[in-house]
Amino acid sequence: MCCERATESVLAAVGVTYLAHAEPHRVRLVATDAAQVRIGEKTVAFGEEDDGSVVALAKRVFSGFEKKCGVTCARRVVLACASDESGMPEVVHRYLRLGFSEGKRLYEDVTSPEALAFAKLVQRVSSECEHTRQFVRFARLPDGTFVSVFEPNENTLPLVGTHFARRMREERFVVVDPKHLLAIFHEPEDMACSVVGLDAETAATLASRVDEADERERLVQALWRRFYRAMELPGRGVASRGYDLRASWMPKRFWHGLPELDGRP
Amino acid sequence: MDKLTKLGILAEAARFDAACTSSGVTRGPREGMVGDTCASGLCHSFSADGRCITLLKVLMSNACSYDCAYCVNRRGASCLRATFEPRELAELTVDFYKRNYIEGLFLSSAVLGNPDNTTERMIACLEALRGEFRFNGYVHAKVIPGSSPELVNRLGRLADRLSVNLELPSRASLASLCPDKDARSVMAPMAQIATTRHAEEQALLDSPAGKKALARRHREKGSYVSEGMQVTSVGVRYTLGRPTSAVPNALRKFVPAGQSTQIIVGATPEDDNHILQLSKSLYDHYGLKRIFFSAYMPMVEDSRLPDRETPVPLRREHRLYQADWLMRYYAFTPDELATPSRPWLDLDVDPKLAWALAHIEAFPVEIMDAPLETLLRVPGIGPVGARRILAARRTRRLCMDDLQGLGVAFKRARYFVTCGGKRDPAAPLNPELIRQKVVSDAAGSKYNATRRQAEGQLSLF
Repeated sequence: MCCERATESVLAAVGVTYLAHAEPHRVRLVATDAAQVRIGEKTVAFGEEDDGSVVALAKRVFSGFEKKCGVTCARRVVLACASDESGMPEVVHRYLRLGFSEGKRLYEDVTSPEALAFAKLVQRVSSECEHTRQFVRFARLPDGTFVSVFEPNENTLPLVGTHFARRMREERFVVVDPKHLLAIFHEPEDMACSVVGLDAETAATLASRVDEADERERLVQALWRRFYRAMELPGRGVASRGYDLRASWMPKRFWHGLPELDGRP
Repeated sequence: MDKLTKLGILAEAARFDAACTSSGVTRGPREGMVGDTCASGLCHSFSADGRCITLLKVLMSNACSYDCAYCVNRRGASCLRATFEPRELAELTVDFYKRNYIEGLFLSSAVLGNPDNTTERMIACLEALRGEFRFNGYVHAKVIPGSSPELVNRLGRLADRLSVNLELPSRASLASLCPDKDARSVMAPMAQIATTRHAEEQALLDSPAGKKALARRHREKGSYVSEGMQVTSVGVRYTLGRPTSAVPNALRKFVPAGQSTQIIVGATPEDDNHILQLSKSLYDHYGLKRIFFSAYMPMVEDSRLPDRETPVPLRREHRLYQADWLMRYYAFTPDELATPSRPWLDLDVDPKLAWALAHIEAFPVEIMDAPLETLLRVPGIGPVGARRILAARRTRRLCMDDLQGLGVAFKRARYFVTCGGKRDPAAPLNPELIRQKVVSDAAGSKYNATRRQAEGQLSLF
């Protein structure tokens, strides 16, 4: 069964497999953009209806799972669904089935293959959420709006919107993710961010607004760079350690967006 | 002097302080204010040497009237001097915070005239930050030894965490290298902070919010094990630690994130056993949240100090942090890690592995029935692995292959465990062979090899 890489689509697809009384070993969930039919398989497209039935079914599956397995496991499902892994829908599908059969014991199940595969997804997304909270960098535009462009490896922006809304409650800001064609918007005093899907052109236009920063913004960035360089201590670098501790904490794929590294690779 | 130059001077002057955490207190957003805090902290950047940058760590001023031998800012040093205006620093903090560069401010200072003058200036900065700029994020402030108790009290109501640097691990070393400080002036504010926090805790426990928190704590109360240590379950981890206060930090007004200190290691001859005993005593008596160890960096020429060519004792600092962690979360005592007869930590092998090799008769441990305290003493098994083992063995019989999937560092643990009575077939049985294999694996790591080369055969004294 093909579904979209979105929480509601994956959950609703699992709901459909239950409603259809399909035998679990005869159903495989795949993301539409990564679907490759195997010999003897039939493809069922899913999630194109626009009447709210997908969301309603997803809500039903989610609340049923939450009731059966607890809030912690349900939260982990939301995290796992943000993964960019090609096999994500099937891993989540197997975990949900395991949960519906094990109930509250699911949280303690850390050795079954389904739980292990699922835990890996959760770990990856949690780690990328932390990277997002750490390495998003805002630039203030002359009109007072804060703008940031960030390209995480997983679809983390919807998961960290509340964090930034709490932190910058009085500010108007936007974070654009050109990779997942998504942005989060925040208006002053709002307790949460709005998540908006974008087309490629709008994402590029929004991302280009970072370059509108004025003289004062450039001064703040220069101050930050000066501070960053002043923090370095001699006798503790790569040559003295035998390995690059900075690169292991701060992956190089983020460096181009960090003013303190000034676009260094 | 322009802001850029000033910031450069005052940040470079502050970089030798190892502490840079924003942890310990959760405070939600407030209307009309900027920011919040999160108990787990958040690292926003990492310096070229790999140290975390989470706070704007600067000195208020580096124009010092003291003459501590090891300090680059000492009275007699020939360096550029600068001083921030209180409002200027507060504004810079908020500018950085709003761009997601930092979690807050780490404010320290050289002694500008006298301790009270310096503290008043720091208070003026924090008042501007909390008042005019409505900053609700994290603030760590350094207490200047010798400051009057009233000022320490005011500082503690503006900052989330206070720290008083112990600097050197003994009275004799402090007297020798810091002629303007004495142990009393360092310990007095530490005791004041501990006493004030305790008094506030008692008052809060009598309040309705405190009673509610206490009732919740009783419901969740964990089991106590050796020496008053308590099993704590945080998310996916089980640790053994000192019992924590029933009062949530968010309810406190005075130093809600507690106090910490810093000790410079390698500048004076105290051994690791002495430093660990001292640390344990500070945790027990003053309820410190953290002790930071800072490897001495020979920057200044002075006959009382190690030679300037002496390498930075980076591995010693690293091993002390590991030992400190083992004392706080694994219920190890200082004498187990560095005994009075062998008072130095092994630089090639981590303290837990060194302890296991010295107590090889206590192994192997049976995974299927070992209690949490025993599991946590196995090299390669941490709080996450221990919790997963306890959960998994309730439902099924575990084998060696399962351990790797449970978050156990199997490469290290394999020599010290059995599963269902079976050992890892590739692990030697003879304790001496185990010791040789484990030590050669650890000593051959790139980190150890590089540091050994850097440290050479030089002796500190």
